[in-house]
Amino acid sequence: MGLYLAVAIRAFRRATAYRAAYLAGIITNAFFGALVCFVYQALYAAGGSVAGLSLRDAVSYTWATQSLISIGAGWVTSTEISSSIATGDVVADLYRPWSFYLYWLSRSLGERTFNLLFRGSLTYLIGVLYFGARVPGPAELLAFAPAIALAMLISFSFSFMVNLSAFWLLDATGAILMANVLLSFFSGFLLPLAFFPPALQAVARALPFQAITALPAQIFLGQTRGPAVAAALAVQLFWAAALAALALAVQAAAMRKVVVQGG
Amino acid sequence: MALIEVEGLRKEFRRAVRREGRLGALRSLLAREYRTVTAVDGVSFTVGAGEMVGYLGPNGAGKSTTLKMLTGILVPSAGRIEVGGLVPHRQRVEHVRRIGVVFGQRTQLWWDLPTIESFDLLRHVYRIPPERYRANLARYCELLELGPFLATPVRQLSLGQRMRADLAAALLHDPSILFLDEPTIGLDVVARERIRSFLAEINRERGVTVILTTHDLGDIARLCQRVVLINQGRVIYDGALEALRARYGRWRTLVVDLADPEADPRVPGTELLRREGPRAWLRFDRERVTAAGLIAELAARCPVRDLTVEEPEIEDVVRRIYENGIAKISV
Amino acid sequence: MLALYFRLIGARVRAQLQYRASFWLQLVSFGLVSGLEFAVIAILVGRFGGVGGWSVAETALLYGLTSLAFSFAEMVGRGFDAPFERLIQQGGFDGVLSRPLGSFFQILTSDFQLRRLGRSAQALLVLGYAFAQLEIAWTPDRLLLVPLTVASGATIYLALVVIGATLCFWTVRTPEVINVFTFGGEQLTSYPLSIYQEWLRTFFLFIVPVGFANYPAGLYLLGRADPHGLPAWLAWCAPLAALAFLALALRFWAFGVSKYTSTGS
Repeated sequence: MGLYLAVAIRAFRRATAYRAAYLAGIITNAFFGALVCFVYQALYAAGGSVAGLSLRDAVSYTWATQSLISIGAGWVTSTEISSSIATGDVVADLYRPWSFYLYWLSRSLGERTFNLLFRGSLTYLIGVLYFGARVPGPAELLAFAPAIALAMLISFSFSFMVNLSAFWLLDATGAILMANVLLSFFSGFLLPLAFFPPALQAVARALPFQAITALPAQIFLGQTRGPAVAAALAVQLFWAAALAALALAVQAAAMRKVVVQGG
Repeated sequence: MALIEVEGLRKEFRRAVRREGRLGALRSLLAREYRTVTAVDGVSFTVGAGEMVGYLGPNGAGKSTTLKMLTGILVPSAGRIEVGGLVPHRQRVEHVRRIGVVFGQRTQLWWDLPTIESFDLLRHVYRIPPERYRANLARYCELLELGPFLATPVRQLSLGQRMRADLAAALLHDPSILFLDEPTIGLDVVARERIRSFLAEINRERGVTVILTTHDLGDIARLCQRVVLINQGRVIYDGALEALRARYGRWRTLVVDLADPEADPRVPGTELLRREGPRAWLRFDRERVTAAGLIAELAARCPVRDLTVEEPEIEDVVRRIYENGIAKISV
Repeated sequence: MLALYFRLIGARVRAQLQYRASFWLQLVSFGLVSGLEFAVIAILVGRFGGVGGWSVAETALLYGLTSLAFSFAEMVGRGFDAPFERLIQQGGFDGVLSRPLGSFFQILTSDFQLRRLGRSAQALLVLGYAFAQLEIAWTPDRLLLVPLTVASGATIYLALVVIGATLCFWTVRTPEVINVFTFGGEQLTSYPLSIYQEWLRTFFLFIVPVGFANYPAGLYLLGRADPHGLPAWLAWCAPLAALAFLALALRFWAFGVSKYTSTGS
């Protein structure tokens, strides 16, 4: 356990070094967040609320999800694993005396914790200062902590599996593209789930992706509150366990393939 | 007028100075500090048509930089440069049409296309008449044995094969000058010899002027009657290779096979470099002793079965020139 | 010169088509990814019953035009993206300068991506839907305006990619910021320009003229007036804006090349 903690801390430290990159990232995320807000302002010209969301709700939600991009909320951003598969470097990793899954999970958590604390929070701050995004209270933050932790876990397991597809397909880019289509839409990143047509909403609620973005964002903003929070966390817990199990199964299959076919 | 004229050529680069520590990074963002690196410092020479010139120097001496200015890739900071009456960096496209360039470490060919397709594209890029293209292609395929891998994508070629393909590609359009930047780097002995004999052949057969930069003396020894020695951006020698060896090589090595393996061959004025049974390598300074005198003295001391006098290694000569500068090597 | 262009991209396309399955998979993926873009717009505008006075079909018209233009720019100009960044990092630009062809031309032909037609197909479907739903009075001038506008839009997007690549001469990596103008521009113009604040509208029409990819043409085709007073004939200025912006990008590129030749890499 100490080993994985060390890996996570090292990943956290590494993330602090790329200052210019994440500053540019914040500006880019903020721009796109602003753009979406402008559209909402036009859409809500008549005022009131639609599907239970007011303009302020929609704006806050947008900034929350934009801030969570660097945590894996919108797309599968990390292709390190699939790259190492393509180059063949991965074989060395698979025979190390640690869990391949846990190793990459620790790395991911370390890096994303940094992103959450610095990149994400700064991005959301811009939303608060210039667009009137809602500032969460202590109750929301308390519920948000486990929610975002579970979200990162689910997001990682999904990303892990998509990257591992490189073991079977030579080029993982097609799989990543398709995965992003699913993730960006059904997680509630592109559009709040409340706006989905009923049929698509039902599909979204049955899939794990909403647990990555929509649920934690809604908890953060207090759009999900009271007993609904417990229900949401339970859903997240379920998916975290399910996807972790699935990821380990995929990993086992990949290992078998490597052993049998030599990578 | 010579084909290539270079006069007082200078090239300076401004390099940002990196500062240490956290505060340093911040200071660098606010006020960059630069230092000027002079890669080429007043280089002058001329090259006539049909010559084969070696441009020799240690790493960082300014060889590649000079070559890049000759090919028009870099703009000189000062000085005059004319190739075939054109100023390379000012009339780049016209200039480049008449020359061939081969970089040792990078390829000019299209990475994922078969070699022959790359050649065909070049035919159109350089507007080579079909007859001329076919004739050249056939000749180079023959000389460089390209046949086996013409259909192979360039990215799958070995270094030696790629080098040969690059050479052919650079000559398809009958350039009057061929510039080569470290053409034999990383190649094995066989491949290197192939490249060298090819270059010798096209220089002889077609009168292509060849300028090659290298730090491999074997290339120079094999190919170039003339060598330009460059160090720290300056020309320190420009002339025939033999003259260099003759003038600046003080040391000779006398290799003797002694009749008596136990005998001590060390006569005054020599240094024993190596001893292997009856054979001894003795180094002597021909400024101080003559070979003849040395042999006489040695023979008087201990019977000699056989002997040869070795010329100085070019490596030694050149190394000592780098280390001491030409003036210090006595004439 | 044109013949050489087709020959060079022909070679690239042939090389890409070698991997047939991968090609089709990526083409379809690009279609789906961009299809998703429109799906989000359609759902949103549908939910709210219109945006800035534009219906779903009218917004589809705008989206179709800008997405189509973007797809052509992507198809043609990819050489200025990741491949160019790699080229600069690995010192391959010297090789480009050793050939008797303009450097811009060489980079342009270095990565022509036929598979980007996936997005083009999607955009055409959206346009088809828009034309079917809307009652556009198709006069000859309107028929001419559509391809003219798409070509102008594609040129503007291409110019943006070139500018992004030129920055590589100084920064070695294409800064993420250029995405704000390319993808950001496409996203912005997916909705009617009139909904944005004045500074944004002015910027994206007269400084980075992405707005010309669809908005003035959309107004003209629908016979609408712009709430902020843009004249109807502005639609015909799209080619002018495109050419002016491209000229700017090319000047900047030439400047970048001259910097490269005087400082090396």
